[in-house]
Amino acid sequence: MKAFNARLIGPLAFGAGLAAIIGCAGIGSDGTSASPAQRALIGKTKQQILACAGIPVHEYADGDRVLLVYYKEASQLEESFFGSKSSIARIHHGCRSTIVLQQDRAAEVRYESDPSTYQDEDHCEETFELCVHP
Amino acid sequence: MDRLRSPTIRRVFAGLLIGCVWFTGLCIAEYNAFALEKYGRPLPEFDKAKDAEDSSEDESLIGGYFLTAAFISNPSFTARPDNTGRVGLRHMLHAETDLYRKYLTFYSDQNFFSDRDKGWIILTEWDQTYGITGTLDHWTWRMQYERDAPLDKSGLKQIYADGLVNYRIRSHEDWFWWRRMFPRNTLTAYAGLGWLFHNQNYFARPDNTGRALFRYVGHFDLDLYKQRFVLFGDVNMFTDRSASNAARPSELDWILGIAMRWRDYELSFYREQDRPLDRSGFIQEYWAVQLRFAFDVQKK
Repeated sequence: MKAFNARLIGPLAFGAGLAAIIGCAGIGSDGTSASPAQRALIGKTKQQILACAGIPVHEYADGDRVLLVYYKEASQLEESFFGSKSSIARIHHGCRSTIVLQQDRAAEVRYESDPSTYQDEDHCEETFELCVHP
Repeated sequence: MDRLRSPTIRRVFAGLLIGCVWFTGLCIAEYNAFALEKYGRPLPEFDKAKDAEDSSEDESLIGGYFLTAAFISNPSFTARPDNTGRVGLRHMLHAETDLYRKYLTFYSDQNFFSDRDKGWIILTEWDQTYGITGTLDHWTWRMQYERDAPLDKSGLKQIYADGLVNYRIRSHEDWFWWRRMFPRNTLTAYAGLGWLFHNQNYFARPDNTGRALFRYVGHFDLDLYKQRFVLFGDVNMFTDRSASNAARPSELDWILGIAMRWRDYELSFYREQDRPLDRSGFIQEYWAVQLRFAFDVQKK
């Protein structure tokens, strides 16, 4: 029985660690699907956004509305596997974030996966990491 | 390290199973506790055209990675194509560029191995790969040329050209039940079939016998936490064109590992074993610790 228990310690510890990692990832702090960055950006001014997220790849203006567009490509760490019998390339993808400013305040934040068939909004979150954790 | 053999692998699998069971319990409990809310509203129409028009400017021009791996335990993974030596270090450069948006890509791998029995530093094998790859919805295809040659002396070269088709699934697009249960843990997997239509000494078993004809591949990545912790597994099988059944696998190569990513860096720990399937014989295997650094040159 002792030997059986000793053999289980490793798997139990590994399993608990894995469950803890996945468990932490699956539950939002407030229980909603709105991301931390989307929540943090609402109400910020353009200057505040530029300060924490950098220069957008595109900026459009129409009256008192301004759109800031950011794009973050997924890392090659995700897009290629390094097998010993040659690498395997995977689909190139990224995430485009569009912030709508009205009267110089962020009113909407939308994430779009690119291509749209590859849903992965974590890269939009990365764009605004410094806005959430200055 | 030699003790990290089959009992350890059994423990790792047991650990994974226990982790899944525990997490399922956690997830079901939490799923009932919170109501989901969708964030954001449709964007104004006036910029959609501009968005589409400029979308190509923010894509990658050349992307890739460097990697260095130390084979911390290597009883038998050889350091030259003629199966001599034992690998100490592996260095690799991977680079790729999109030829047509995200749908057609050219790539190249330059792989170098050193021999731990010759002091770890001197490079003994150079594997070059050049290929094109493309995607269409769930399907991925590639055409590739590979040349594996010794570097520190003349000798046997293994060369082939192949075509490969993969079918990909991704839990967040394809499995609603998975997305609902594991909203932050994407599972990506693919399986495919390849044909080595040109083969100059690319063998069908780890003991350098036979000549490969087909390859069957399978792969999964399980995102444990925001692409920062990823569990991965890979399977590669070859068949022997000189065997009575040319479709029957003669070699199985498998990899199981875990990767930790931070920005453009990745540290991974994995095990590979290449073994014959249709007879007993030489098994190549190792444990490795690997550091990858990704780079990306943007068009804009």
